[in-house]
Amino acid sequence: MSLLIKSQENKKAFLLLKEHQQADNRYEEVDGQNNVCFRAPAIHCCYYSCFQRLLFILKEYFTEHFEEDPKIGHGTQIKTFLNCIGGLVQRTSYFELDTALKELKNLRNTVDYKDDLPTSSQLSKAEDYMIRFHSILKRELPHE
Amino acid sequence: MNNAPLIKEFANKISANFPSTFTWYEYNALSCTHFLLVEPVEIYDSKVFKEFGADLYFDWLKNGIEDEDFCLISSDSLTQLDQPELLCAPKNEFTLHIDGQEFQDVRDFGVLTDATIPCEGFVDFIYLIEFDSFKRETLEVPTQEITYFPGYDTGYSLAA
Repeated sequence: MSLLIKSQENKKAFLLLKEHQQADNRYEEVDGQNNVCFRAPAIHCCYYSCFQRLLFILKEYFTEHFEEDPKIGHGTQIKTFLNCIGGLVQRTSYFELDTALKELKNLRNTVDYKDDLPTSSQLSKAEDYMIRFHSILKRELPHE
Repeated sequence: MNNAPLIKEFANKISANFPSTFTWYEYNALSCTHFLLVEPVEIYDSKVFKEFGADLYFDWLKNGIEDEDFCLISSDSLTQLDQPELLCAPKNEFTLHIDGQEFQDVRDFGVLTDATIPCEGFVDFIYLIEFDSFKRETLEVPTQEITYFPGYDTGYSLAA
């Protein structure tokens, strides 16, 4: 269960960081100061909230496909997950899950390893993807 | 990154099943992901496209490509492309002249993607011509007008 708890904690961390960012934006409007940006760590949490949820599902319900080796890349774990849930969710939901994971992974790589700072719009879209990801799994995987 | 033929095949499938779409391509080396951007957004967001897209994702998985990902996006997606290459565009029945060169098919515009034309402006421009009442007429378009994009203004003045 700890992976599921971590996933939920990352979701909460995302919301906290987003709240700080919004407060900071308001402060900046009044003060005109350039403040700390919480968007990058928020997006990091957003991605991990989804990734840990999929690891939890693999570990709990698709044990034969799950390998806990940290050397296995995220891309491989995501592919295994997508293979496993292929016949269990609607095709439109599958499309949305697949796209959300790959886009969040791409954005997480960018904000963690490149100089670019994420924008408010990216933060908001990342949140949409995360919420959709969790809600589809909750709705369509009965044992979840 | 040896999966270009498969990506091209996917783009052709999209074009064959959704003839009014533009398909743009870019590979992101950081996340090892092949992105295909499908326009217009209304088609990308439709149920029928999502079901079709899910089948393409399955096909990608079936090919067993280990280290790379494939992702379908729209211009409204989280991921934005920096220098996309135009792979497929709708066929149209007008002729466009650019610097004396004749383009019978919008697909020929692919040759221009190495130029300084921003993706969004370029797509807007094509739409403007596509929906223009002079669709079947020959249009004379100087190169400098095209490179001026993004923005509708120039396109409108050309089409009017």
